[in-house]
Amino acid sequence: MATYEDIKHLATLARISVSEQDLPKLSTEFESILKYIGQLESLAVPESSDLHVPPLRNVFRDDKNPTPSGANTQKIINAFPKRNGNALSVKKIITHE
Amino acid sequence: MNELAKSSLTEISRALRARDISVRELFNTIHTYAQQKNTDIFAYLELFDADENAIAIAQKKIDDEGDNAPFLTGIPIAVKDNMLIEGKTVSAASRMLENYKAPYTATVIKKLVNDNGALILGRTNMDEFAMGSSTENSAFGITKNPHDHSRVPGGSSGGSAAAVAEGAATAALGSDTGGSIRQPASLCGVVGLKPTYGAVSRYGLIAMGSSLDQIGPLTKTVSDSRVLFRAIAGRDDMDATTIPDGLYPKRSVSRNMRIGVPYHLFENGVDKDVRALFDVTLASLKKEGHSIVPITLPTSQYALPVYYVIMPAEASTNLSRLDGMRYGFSKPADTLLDDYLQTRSEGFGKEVQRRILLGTFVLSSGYIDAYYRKALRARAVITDEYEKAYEQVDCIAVPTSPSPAFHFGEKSDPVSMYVEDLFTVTANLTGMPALSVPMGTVNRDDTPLPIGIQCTAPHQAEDILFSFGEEVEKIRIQNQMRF
Repeated sequence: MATYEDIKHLATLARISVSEQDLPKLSTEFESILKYIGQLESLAVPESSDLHVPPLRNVFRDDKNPTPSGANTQKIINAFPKRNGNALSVKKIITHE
Repeated sequence: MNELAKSSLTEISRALRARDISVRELFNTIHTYAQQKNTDIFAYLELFDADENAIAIAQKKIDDEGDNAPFLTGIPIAVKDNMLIEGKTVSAASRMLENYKAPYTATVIKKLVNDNGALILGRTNMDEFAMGSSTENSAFGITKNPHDHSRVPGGSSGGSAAAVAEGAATAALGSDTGGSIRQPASLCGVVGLKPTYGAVSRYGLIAMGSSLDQIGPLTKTVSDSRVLFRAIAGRDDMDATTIPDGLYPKRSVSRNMRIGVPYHLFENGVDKDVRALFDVTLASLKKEGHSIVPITLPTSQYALPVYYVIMPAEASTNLSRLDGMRYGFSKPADTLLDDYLQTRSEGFGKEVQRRILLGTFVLSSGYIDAYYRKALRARAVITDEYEKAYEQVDCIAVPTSPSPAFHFGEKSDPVSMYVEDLFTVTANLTGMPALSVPMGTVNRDDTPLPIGIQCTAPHQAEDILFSFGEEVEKIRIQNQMRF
């Protein structure tokens, strides 16, 4: 499976736009990668072999030493691509039309 | 090469304590040398200016504490450009984060600088978001192999490996998701360690494959590797995947090691002379009193396809946070959806986009069982096989990479590049530690190129790896092999 339509569909899911001119190359590459990982089909793994329970699990820590309120706020705000005062500015996603 | 640039961390540490050199002289020498060399090999994306305060603190530590000062005090170290240092740019060699300033400092950096008094030289080049095996995928230029400038240094920690091999850093940190420390170490002739999963904190490391990633050292010698590993290892409240000492059964290091060799995995794809050098190294290890035990790891031949399902699945998930909304590159368009599409298409390079698409595919409805879930089950079987093998051997040896450094552009087909990771991905799938040590050179176009031998051991048995590595170093000197 690596038709142009398939690639375009995956790109939509992944929020990437693929140009028409890149499609042929991408499709060929994808085909060969899928063929490679498709080796897994011939591998028989027992259904019973499932995920290992790791020796380290349910890791909790004491609720202590909280970060002082506002300690990181300015640093985070400074990284905003677009801001309105201290608010992150984004496009409207709901319209009334 | 400059004398100090050639010296190992341990030698320089000794010279600092003996007051043969000052921290300032050392830093200036290595920094100037790195600057000169960077025009040739481009190991660094950025060399930092001297931090006067840090230099003064390090010198004072040596003056006050003498031999009790940590080994790393005053040592100039290079850091892969995916670890955060507050206030410094951290780009992961991507347009997406080209101008991104780190808002906090990674635990490994804090340990090096605050606890040990090490000095950070700069941030090294890498494949974009650590995706690649040649450092050709950097958005900012290629790094050259110090042994042959027409060849790649390996990747993705290619800048760190090249810096150490060139003497442009006394040691370096890299990160390893499928071989990104060990393969460039092999191709550049340095020592690279991928520690046990969870041994080193990843707080402040830009994530790629969260069940696979580990930070580790790239150094000139095995004893340097041990020093740097011990300095960065340990539990961290900021990373819940870090493991406490003794989580896994303790393994003793025996003087005569039983070294397992899965010969059946070498049938395809290992260059003849690499194989010959590997066999010579094993024969020498045998002469030193170690035993070579042929073993089989039947499912390991599927390790690479398993890896190329799990890694893109995790990477595509991790990279979904980069959408131009909160930080990093942002390309405004007409609608919110177009903002995402434009930002991600222009911000990410081709290989990153390929892996995001691949990850999206293996996780998508209708394919997740055949690919992702199957790969997870196969991963468990591979791990079981390794654990079983360790009932009869102390460690397992393979060539680190199937061939030495290749030319730029030689592996333009993605799958041929992925095969570079053939012998390294297994340690990431099992979470077991693995070390690459130079075993000698093979010739290409009349140029001797280094190549490494890789040793894997059970979880938390890094000490076995270090003794294996020291044996290989001894043999290399006995056999008078340069690298």
